[in-house]
Amino acid sequence: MRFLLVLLAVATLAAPAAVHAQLKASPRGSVSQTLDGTKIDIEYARPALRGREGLFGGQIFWGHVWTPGADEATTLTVNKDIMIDSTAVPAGKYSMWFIVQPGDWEVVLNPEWDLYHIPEPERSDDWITFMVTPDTTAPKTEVLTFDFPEHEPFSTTLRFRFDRRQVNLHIDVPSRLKMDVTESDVVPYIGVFATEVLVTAYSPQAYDFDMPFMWKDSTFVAAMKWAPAPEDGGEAPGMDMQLLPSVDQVFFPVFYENGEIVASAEFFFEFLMGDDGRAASFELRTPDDDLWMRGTRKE
Amino acid sequence: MSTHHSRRSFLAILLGAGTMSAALPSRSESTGHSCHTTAAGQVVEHPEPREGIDASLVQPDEAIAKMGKKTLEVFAMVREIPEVMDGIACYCGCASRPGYRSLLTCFYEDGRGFGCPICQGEARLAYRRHKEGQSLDQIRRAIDARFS
Repeated sequence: MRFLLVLLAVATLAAPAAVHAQLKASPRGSVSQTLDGTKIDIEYARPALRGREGLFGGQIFWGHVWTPGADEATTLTVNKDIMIDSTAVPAGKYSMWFIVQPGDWEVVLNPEWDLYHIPEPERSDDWITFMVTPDTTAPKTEVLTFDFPEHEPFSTTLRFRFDRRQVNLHIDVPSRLKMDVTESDVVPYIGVFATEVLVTAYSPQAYDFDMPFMWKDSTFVAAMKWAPAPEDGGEAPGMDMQLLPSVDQVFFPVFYENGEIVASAEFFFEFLMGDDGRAASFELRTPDDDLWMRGTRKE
Repeated sequence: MSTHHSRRSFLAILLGAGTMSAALPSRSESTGHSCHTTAAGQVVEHPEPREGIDASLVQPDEAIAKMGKKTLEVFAMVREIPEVMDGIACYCGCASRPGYRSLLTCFYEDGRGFGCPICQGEARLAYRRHKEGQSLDQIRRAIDARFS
């Protein structure tokens, strides 16, 4: 009997904890992405549908200033100024809200971030707002999810999904590349280097060529040959690469098409200095740190 | 099949490099990541290696046996060249932790090296460059360019 009383007491004491655990239906989650030195963090609660239908326009009623999450408001933190859907967002921490409607939604970033999901925040001049068109035909998502499904060197997409709604936010980050290289910065590297190209994923065969590094049109340029000269004696195909400074003696090659950078930042020209203060040799390394090309000064 | 690139295919390969860079530690993080990064873009000061430094305090394999083959490989690299690892700064934020001195100490008992992709990525790069015959200064520059 005494044993049963103890068991009953234990069960009674345990019951509220179990109920409390069930009520915690929206565990916290986070996702982050760093692009060229800009870090983007999302912290949010992750409610689940649990059989509910027609959440948008129903429990999340039209006109509701709704934090895409539950409990404590979802937050967006960025360590540098960014652009979201062409809207400037200064570095900082924000609570995130969607004003949901049958058509376009208004996205709100509120510098007052330490908020609960209710009451709805009062509209403020401090808010950063912009409109988005949610995809209402998205596949059903059971658990509210933020992710970064794609990225470019200086941009990414922050994707929100819940029930049958999806919102893609395009984020542009500032480039860390130093564009303002001066001639005096690069004088030690100017010259012609006897260059050996090794077999890598970027060059299916080995070949040699002379690569000039020059100051041209106010930029530091290397004249790359991307294939050997044809056997009939024609000129090897090539293109100019602009080199932008990274850390000391290291440069990123970048390519431009229609005025836009189309590839950069994952390859490294690393120069080794000679006793005369000029670069004596260089290596070009791939994103996997494989040696792709190496050169020795000729002129 | 041609083994030569056209300008278009050459650029396409370069543009595809973003996916290849996954072989090096990415700064993209997901929930549960245990490693904090320094402010990106800031080059840190590398320590001078301690004279006579050895790898006696680096975690033995028995202590990290469950961490997987790649982690064991990195620890073996660190044990092989402690005098190089001790001259390199760690970019993952370890520097604010008690007991930190250099990348080498990330692989001590209280370090983050057992699970941190930045610590391990730096160690792999340092080991590879050292085996290629590069100087400590060259290795440091390569690490600064990739991890700062």
